[in-house]
Parts: sequence; C-alpha cells; structure tokens
Amino acid sequence: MSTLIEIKNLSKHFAVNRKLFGAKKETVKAVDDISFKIEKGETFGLVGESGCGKSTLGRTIIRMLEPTEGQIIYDGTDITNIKGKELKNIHKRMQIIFQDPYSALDPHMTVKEIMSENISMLGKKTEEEQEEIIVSLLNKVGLTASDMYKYPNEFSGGQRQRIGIARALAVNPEFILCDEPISALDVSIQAQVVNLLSDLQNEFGLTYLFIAHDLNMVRHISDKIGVMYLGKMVEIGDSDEVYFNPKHPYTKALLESVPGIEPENILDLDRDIIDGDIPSPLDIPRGCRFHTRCPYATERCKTEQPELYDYKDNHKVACFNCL
Amino acid sequence: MKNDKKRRNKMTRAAFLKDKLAILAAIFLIFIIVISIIAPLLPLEATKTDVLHILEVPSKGHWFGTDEIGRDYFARVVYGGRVSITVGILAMLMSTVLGVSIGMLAGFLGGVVDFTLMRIVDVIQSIPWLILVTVVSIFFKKGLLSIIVVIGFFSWMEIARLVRAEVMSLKEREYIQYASFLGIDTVKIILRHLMPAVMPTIIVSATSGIADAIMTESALSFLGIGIQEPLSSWGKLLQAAQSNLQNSIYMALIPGLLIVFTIFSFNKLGNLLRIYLEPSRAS
Repeated sequence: MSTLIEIKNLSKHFAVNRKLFGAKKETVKAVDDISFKIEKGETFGLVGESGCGKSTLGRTIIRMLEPTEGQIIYDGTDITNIKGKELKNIHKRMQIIFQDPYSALDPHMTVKEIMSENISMLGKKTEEEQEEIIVSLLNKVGLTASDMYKYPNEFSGGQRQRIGIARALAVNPEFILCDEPISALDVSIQAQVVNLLSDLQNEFGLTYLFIAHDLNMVRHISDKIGVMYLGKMVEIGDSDEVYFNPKHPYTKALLESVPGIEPENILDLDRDIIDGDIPSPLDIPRGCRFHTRCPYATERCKTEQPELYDYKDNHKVACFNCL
Repeated sequence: MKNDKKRRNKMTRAAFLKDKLAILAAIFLIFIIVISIIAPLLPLEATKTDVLHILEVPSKGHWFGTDEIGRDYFARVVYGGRVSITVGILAMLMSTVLGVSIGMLAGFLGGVVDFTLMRIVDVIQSIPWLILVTVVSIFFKKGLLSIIVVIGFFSWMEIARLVRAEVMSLKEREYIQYASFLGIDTVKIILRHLMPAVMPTIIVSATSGIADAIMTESALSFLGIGIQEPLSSWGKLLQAAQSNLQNSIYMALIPGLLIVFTIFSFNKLGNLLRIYLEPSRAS
C-alpha cells in the first residue's frame, strides 16, 4: 500500500480576542503538532471527545481551513500552501461528508440542483448526461430517481446523509473526510450509513478519514485508529490493537465509557474513570495535557510533554507510563 | 420543480383566501395602480384652474370637489397617487439594490470591508434622517427624480444591516462552506446560495420600503421640500389641505386615507410573498 496523505507536524491555531479593547490576543491550539499517514484504500478512524480538535484536524487536512504550521502531503505533492487553480484541482480529488445533514444541503435547491453543482465542477455536461449521473449515484446510495426533484426538507436525516454521500461521490474523489457522518443519526440508521460507506469504499477504492465519538462504530469501519486529546494525538495504531490493547489511560477511559450489555462489564467496578472536563484549549496544562485528569499522573507528567513513542509496530502511545 | 411550484402556489393561495384583509389589500392596490397607469387616458384635467369655482364641495361634476384655485380635486388625487406610487416603488428599488449589495459584501467578505461599510452606515444613520434629507434636497434640483434619488439613497442602511446579519450567519452553514470548498466563485455563491436564503428578508423589507418611501415623500412634500407645483402627490395635497382644514376637511382626509390604505396593502402583500418564498418556514 502506498501513502495517500501524510501530515507532518501539522498545527492549526485560532486567534481569539477576549478583551473588548485589549490588544491581548490569545490562541486556541485546536490542532498542535500532529503527524501521521493515511494509506491508500484504508479507513483512518479519528476519535476523541467534543472539542478535542478532530474536526479541525480533518478540515485542515483537506485545506478547508488554512494550516498554521506543518506540512500536508497529498499523493506525493505538498498541498500545504497551494492556492487558486491548483487547490481547486486538488479539491476535486477530496470530498467531505458533514455531521449535520440539515445544514450540509442548501434548503433552497433540489437534489438535482445540489448535485449538478458538483458535477459541473468536472467540466461541462449536457442536462441528460448530468441527470444520468445523478440517477446512478442516487441509486448507489439507495435513493430513487424521482428523489432528484425533491428539496432537502422532504427527506429524513438518514436520507439527507445519503444525499450528502451521493454528492461527495459525484466528483469521483479518492479521499473522503467523513466528519462525524453518523453522530446525528439514530442507531439503526447509523449502521445503514456505515455499511453504505464501506460498500462504496470497496466499489470505488476510496480512502476515508472517519471522525466519530463512537469507538465501536469506528473500530467496525477503520483499519487504523487515532485518539486525540486537546489537539494532540495520544495514541495511534491498528484498529484492533488500539481497541483490544489500549495503552494510553485516555483511550482506556474512552473505551470503558462505552456502555456494555454483558453482565461482567456492568459489574466491573475496577474501571479507570476519569473525572472533570476537558481543560479549556485557551489554557492548556503544562506537561502532558491529560495529567489533570489522569489517575496515573506522576511528577514527570506535570512538567514534561510525552511524544508519541513506538510501543509496538503500528502502535504508538504518548504516555510515559506505558513504556 | 413543477410539483413544488404547484404546492407553493397552493399554500400561498390558501393563506391568501383565508385572509380577507389580504384580498381587500390586493384589490385596492390593483385598483390604485391601474388608475395611476391609465390616468392620462381619463378625461381628467389636474392643472386646469377655474377661479369661479373654488373650494366647491363634492358634486356630480367634481367628485371630490375643487381646490382653492378651482382645480378638480379628484384629478389632483389621481395624479398625486401616480407620483406617490412611482416614488415609492422606484425609491424602494434603489434602496433595496444598494442595501442588498452592500449588506452582502459586508457580510460575506467580512474583515476590513465589513468594518468600513458598517461604519459608513453608522455615520449616515447617526444623523437625524429628516435633517439630512432636507439639507441634501436643497442642493438637488427640485423634481421627481431628485426626490426618488434622495429617498433611495438615504434609506438603504436598514436593509443592508439585515442582509449583512443574515449573510454572516449563513456563511457559517456547512453548505456555504462546502460551496467555497468546491471552488465555486464568490459571485455564484452569492447569487445561487445566499440570495435565495435572504430573499424573504429582502421581500419583507422591500415592501415596507415602498410604504416608507411613500410616507417619506409625503412628509417631504408636506414640509414643502418635496414635490413642487404644479405636480401633486398625496403628501403635497395634505399640505395644501391644511389651510382649508376648517371648511373642507375631506380635502385632507382623502389623500390621508389613501396613504394609509396603500401602505397597509403593501405590507400585507409583502407578508404573503414571504409565505410563497419560504414555504418550509411558513408551514
């Protein structure tokens, strides 16, 4: 397998003006010095709690947001600073599926109009050709040709998400950023959408960056999993490895927060339960970012920031206590 | 597409028929507009004076009586309405075009552009409106066109603010972000995605803009800096009626009521138009 996307020391900071007249500017380090690779044809799952920077990371990678530092290499070309036409061409090869199917589709356009907009990005086509493409895409995602003339508000959340997927496919992308595509859907629909995504992956050889909260679902679809906490990657590795053999205390806590139905799970009182909330990204703790909530934090954790260490092949952890 | 149009038409028709006042408003406006358009074809002479018959009460020959120099008051009212409606519509068009363009630019581009444009709005809005218009209209040659320009040019600020606010929140919607991600150019994003979304706001504010413009024109004419003789407008007629208020109060009542009804009708129909444009929100 070859690498499709490689990011090196990527950071995305936002400047915030907190005082009305003050020149005092603060920065939110939404994504701070992250490096990893996504191989062609694989699904990279990205998990972490709300506000940890997952979506920002995803959107920076596809250059929907401007990176502050670091490098993004897409299929061998550095796309960190490209602009204009070059960027437009790269954007034809990547797509995004949004979390909220309600704000992702223009409510004033029919499905046909929404999709024609994408299709026309690939060059001029006649009305018939466009319709043909739209019908075949709609069929692929489990909708019918007559849905083409409807407005988004005539569909349910799951159907809208399917339209979002069909729209993303319309430009024949290689890479799709799935930005929590299932979090807004109810559980039965989630499974359908996830299955649809993996079918399409097999059919078109797509590469996904799949962002989610739900570790079970992420393990189901991903080849690799990255766990983020406060803008940093804390653990990264093969999907099953991270899921069954988590090393970082934060990953363990995340996994244990998944409610189980097996009695031994319910009775297991010896869990790592973490207290408190994620610290404000304006005021990141010194040392290991997780030390304020970590049950195993030592003096070293409070002063020194752990890098991602190789724990095994294809399994990296950023924790001093796991070495 | 066809189905949708049908459905919208149906919803709008239902809302229209349910609202008896709206029907009245529509009939009234159509009547006024038709009369205004065909006025030159009617056997009316708005400028012919007749000193032997001044300040006559309404009669068969003069439906609304005559004014202080013996002109047929009915003809004056019809021609006055023509001017008032023209001023209302054209001034509204001008202020809407200005306001929407400036609001769109400020909201969509943000940053320095937004700051500059909004400070201009602040400055213009901070000067009392009537004083501003009075001073400016002194420098203009008096006439219909300058009234329209003056009113249009000094009433776009509110709609610019409304559009700006709406665009700023729309800009954060994912479908707009997606459109710029695709590399669709700004003009297309504005026309295709933003315009339909701000249309209801524009419509509502434009219809009340007609009403405001008619009212402003009336106020200016009433103060004597608007429409000049021998042209008349409803506001102008109100001003002239002042001096005869004691013996012929109907001379003030007729144009006054017409102004009130016209403004009400435009507002009422604006509301219906909004239902047509935003079916999902109205239902």
